[in-house]
Amino acid sequence: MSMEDYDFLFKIVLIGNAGVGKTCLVRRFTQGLFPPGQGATIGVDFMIKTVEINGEKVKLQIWDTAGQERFRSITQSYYRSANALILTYDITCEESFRCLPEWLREIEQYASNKVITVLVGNKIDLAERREVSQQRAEEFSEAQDMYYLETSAKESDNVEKLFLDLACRLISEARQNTLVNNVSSPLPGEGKSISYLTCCNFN
Amino acid sequence: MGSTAERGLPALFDWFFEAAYPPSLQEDPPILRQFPPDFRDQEAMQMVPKFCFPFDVEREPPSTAVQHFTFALTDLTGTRRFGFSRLRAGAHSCLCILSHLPWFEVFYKLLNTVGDLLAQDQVSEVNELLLHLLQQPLPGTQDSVGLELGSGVMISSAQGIPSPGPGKSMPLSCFVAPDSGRLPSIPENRNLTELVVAVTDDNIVGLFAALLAERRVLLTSRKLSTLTSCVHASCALLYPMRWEHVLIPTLPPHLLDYCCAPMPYLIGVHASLAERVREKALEDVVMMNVDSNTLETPFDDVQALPPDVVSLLRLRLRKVALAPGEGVSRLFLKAQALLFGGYRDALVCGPGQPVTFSEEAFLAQKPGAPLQAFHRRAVHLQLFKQFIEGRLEKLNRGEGFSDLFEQEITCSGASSGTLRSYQLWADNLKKGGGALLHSVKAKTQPAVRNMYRSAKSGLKGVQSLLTYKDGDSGLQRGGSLRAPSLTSRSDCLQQRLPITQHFGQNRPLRPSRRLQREERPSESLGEETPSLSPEDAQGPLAEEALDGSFLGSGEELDLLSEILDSLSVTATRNSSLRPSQSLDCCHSLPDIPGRWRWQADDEKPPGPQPLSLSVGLPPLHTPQPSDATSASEHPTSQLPSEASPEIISPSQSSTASADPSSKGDPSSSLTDPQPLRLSPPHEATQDPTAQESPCSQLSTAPSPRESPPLLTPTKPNSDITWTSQVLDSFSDPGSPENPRAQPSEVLLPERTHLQPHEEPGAPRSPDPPAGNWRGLQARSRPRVAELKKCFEG
Repeated sequence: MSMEDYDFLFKIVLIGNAGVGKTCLVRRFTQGLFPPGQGATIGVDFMIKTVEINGEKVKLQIWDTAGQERFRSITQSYYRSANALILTYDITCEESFRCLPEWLREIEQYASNKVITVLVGNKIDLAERREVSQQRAEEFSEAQDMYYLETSAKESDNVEKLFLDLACRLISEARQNTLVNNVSSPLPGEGKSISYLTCCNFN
Repeated sequence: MGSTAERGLPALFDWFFEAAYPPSLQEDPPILRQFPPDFRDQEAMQMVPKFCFPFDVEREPPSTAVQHFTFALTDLTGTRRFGFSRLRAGAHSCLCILSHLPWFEVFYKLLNTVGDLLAQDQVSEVNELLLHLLQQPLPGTQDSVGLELGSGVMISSAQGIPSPGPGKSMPLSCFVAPDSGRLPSIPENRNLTELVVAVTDDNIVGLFAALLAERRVLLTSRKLSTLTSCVHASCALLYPMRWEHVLIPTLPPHLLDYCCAPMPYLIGVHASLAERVREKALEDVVMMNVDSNTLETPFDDVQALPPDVVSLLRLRLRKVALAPGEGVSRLFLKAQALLFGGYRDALVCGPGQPVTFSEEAFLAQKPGAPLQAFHRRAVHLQLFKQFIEGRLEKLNRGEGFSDLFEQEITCSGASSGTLRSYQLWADNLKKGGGALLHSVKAKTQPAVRNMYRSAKSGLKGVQSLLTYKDGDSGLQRGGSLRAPSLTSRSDCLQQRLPITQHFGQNRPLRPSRRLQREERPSESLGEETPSLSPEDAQGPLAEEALDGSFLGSGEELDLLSEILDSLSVTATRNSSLRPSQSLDCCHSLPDIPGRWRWQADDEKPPGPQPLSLSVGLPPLHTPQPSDATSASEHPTSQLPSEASPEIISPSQSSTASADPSSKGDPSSSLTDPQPLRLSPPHEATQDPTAQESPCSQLSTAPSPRESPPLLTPTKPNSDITWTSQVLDSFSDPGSPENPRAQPSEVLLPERTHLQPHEEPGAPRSPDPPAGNWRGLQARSRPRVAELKKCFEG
C-alpha cells in the first residue's frame, strides 16, 4: 500500500451500535475487491476501494474496529486521525437511533476541527419494520449538520452513492484545507489530520 | 475429549499447537501437532500460526536462544486472547498455547516443560499433561497446581508445594495461579522486568505519556520476547485504566498494513519488519526503538502531564527501577492516582438516583493548575471514559470495590480535592448539619447493633473454618486471600477518618503521610524499626508539615507496598513454587531456590505476617461507627458509644496482643503498615480529652506488628482475625455511611442483608467478607458526594 497510484488517500472510520450492518455496508461497497477478514483476529479490519472522481484516483481506506460497540460513546482519540466518520444506525431499530447523540457528543465538541461525519440509516430493505422515519433522521442530521443517507447493504441501495459522495466531500475539504493552512500539524490531543500523501497534486 | 466436554466452562487454555517454520513469507506455518487433537476451529488454525513467526522469515537469521513471546488476538466482540509462544532455538518451530488468561509466567513455564518433553520425544507425556490441564477447573487465585505424570493434576488451594503423595518425586511442573489483584512486581513479573531492563527511565515515562494520550504507538525490537514484554508491560502501567484500543504485541508480516490504522493502537513490530512498516503511510505515530532506546514522537505528551507528576515519575523511577518489588508499579499507580484520583469528588449521587459522574465537577477541580488542563484532555480519552463507566456500573450495582487504585487515592490523599471537599463538607456540618446527623445517629445505631449480632453468629462459621484449616497451608492460604480485605480496610479507615471523626475540628492529617520520609520497604527490617518509633512520636507534626507536599506523598505508597510485599511472601516463600513466576524461562536465571530465599527471608518479614495484619486492622474500624454516631453530637468526646464496646470486646478478649502495638511496640517488624493503622490513635492524640476508648480499641489495630507470634497458626489468633474482619465490615456501614444513611434509608437494610450472605460465604473461603466489605466501602463514597451536595445545595 505504499506510494501507489492514487491522488488521494482517505481514512474513513465506521462507528455505530452493534448489529446495524456496518461491516456489511463496507463489504457491499468493496464487493470483495479487497479480501476482508484479514484483521478479524486483531480486532481491527479495513477494506480498500479506489474510486475515480473527476479523473482523480481516490483511495478509500475504510476501517472497522471490533468491539468498539462496547463503548457507549467513542472519544475523539478514536477518530483523531480519520478523515471521515460514517455513523450508522439501523432504521428498524429505534434504540440504535437513540444512541446517536451519545456517539456524537464527543465529535461535536470540537466543531473547529470537525471531522466529516455522515449519518447512515441502514437496512431500508426492511421498510416494513421501519422504526425510525426518514423525516426524523433528516431533522436530526440537519440539526447536527451532517450529511444523511439511507442505504441497504443487502440490496446495495445507495451504498455506492454514499462512498462516492463522501469521497467528493473529502476532496473538496482537503483542497480547502491545503489552501487555507498548509501547515497541517494538529495540536496534540485534538484536530484531525488529513492524509496529504499527495498534496503536491493540489497545486 | 476433555476440552469439548467441558466447553462452556472456562478452561485453562483453548488450544495448544506446534507450528513449523514457514518456508517463505507467502506460506503458512504448518501445524506439526496440536492439543486437543480434535481441535477444529478452521479459522483459528489458519490465522493463528502466522502469529508464531512475526518476523521476516526470509531474512531473519534464526535466533540461537529460545524465545518466549506473547501475541494477542482480539475477536469481533473485543475479547482478547493471548498466544503464549516459545520459539525454539534456531526457530525451527514454535510452541504456542492460546488462552484467555494473562498468565504469562505460568504459560511460559508450561511451554518449557512441554518443550523439554518434546525434545525427548515424550509426546504421550505431553498429551497427558495437557489433558490434565484442560480437564481441571480453573485454579483459584494463588492456588498452586502441580502436574505429574500418572497421577495427573493436583491443585492445592494452599500456598504450599502440592505434595505428590507419600514418597513421590516432585511434580513434573507446578505453578501458582497468579493473583490479578496484585501489582506487577520485579522480577516476578517478567514483562515489567524486561521493560525496565530494556528501556530507559525517560523513555518509559514517554511511553506512558503517549499511551495516556491514546496515540498510535509502535514499538520495535530485534528480540521478540523483549518486544512483546514491553508492549504488555507498558499497557499494565496504565492500571487501573486499560488500553482500550487496538493491541497487537507483535505484528505478523501479512498484517503490516494495519499500521496505517487511523485509530489509536499499540503495536509491536519485529526489527526485521520495521523498515517495511516505515514505508507505509504512517502519520503521527509514536515510534519507539527498544534496542536503541529511542523514542520518536511528534507530540509533547510528557509535557502535557502535570509537571509534578512527571518529576515524580522521573525522580523516583530511577530509584525503584533498580530495586526488586512492586516499586515501579506502585510509582505508576501513584501517578495515576494523582492524575485521576479526583474522579471521586465528581461522583454525584442524589437520593434514589443512580450515581453519576459530573464532568463539570471533575474539570472544576484545581482551577488553573496543570492538572486541570490535563483533565480537560483526559475526559476525552477512551480509557478514562471506560474507567468511569466501569466504576459507575459497579457503584450502581451496589457491588462496590476497593482496588489498589482506590486505596492509593485514599492513602496518598492523591485527590487533594477529596480532602478539600471533606473539609468543606465538615465546615458545612458545623453550620447546619447538626439536625441531619442527629437523625443519622438514630437510624444507624440499631443497624450497627444488628450487624454486630449477625456478625457474631457469622463468626462461628469462620471459626470452624479456621479450625479446619489449621494446618500450615491453610493458614497461609487464608493470609494471602485476606490480603485484599486487609488493604481495603485500611483504605476504608483512611477514607472514613475525615468524615467521622473530625466534625468541628481541624481535619487531622491522614496518618499515612507520616511515613513519607520513610525508606522504601527496606531490606533490613531491624534497622527500620528503631527509626519508626521516633517518627511515631512526632507524627502529628510531621504530618502537618508534609501535608501540602504533593510530591512527597509519593512515599506513602510504601506503606501499602510494604504490606503487600510481605503478603506476597506467602506466595513466594515456597521456593520450589517460585520458579513458575520467575524469569526462569529465559534460561538466564537458573532455578535456584536459594535465590528466592534471600528475598523472602531478608527483605521481607516472615510470610504469614500479613495474616496478623488483617487481625489488627479491623478493630480499628469498630470504633468508628461509634465515632460517627457520637461525634455528631459531641465531636470531641463520647466516642465510646454503645455499639463500640460490644464490638470491641471479642477482639480484645481474645488477644491482649492488641495492646503492645498501641504502646508503639517497635519490636515488631512491620513498619509501614503501622501508620495506617495508627491513624485513629493519632486523632486521639490530638484530642487527648476524649477518646480513651478509641485508643484502646485502636490498640488492637496495630496488632499486626505482633505478627511474628501470630505466625504460628494458632487457632485463637485466627479466630480473632476473623472476628475483627467480620465486625469490620459491619461496623463499616456505621461510620461513613451514617451520614449517607439519611438520604437513602434503604441502604441500611441492604447492608444488613449482606450479612447472611457473608456468613455462609466465610467458612468456605475468606473472599466473601472481603467482597462485602468492599461493597460497603465503595458505597460510602458516592454518598459522601451526595451528602456534600445536599449540604452545598
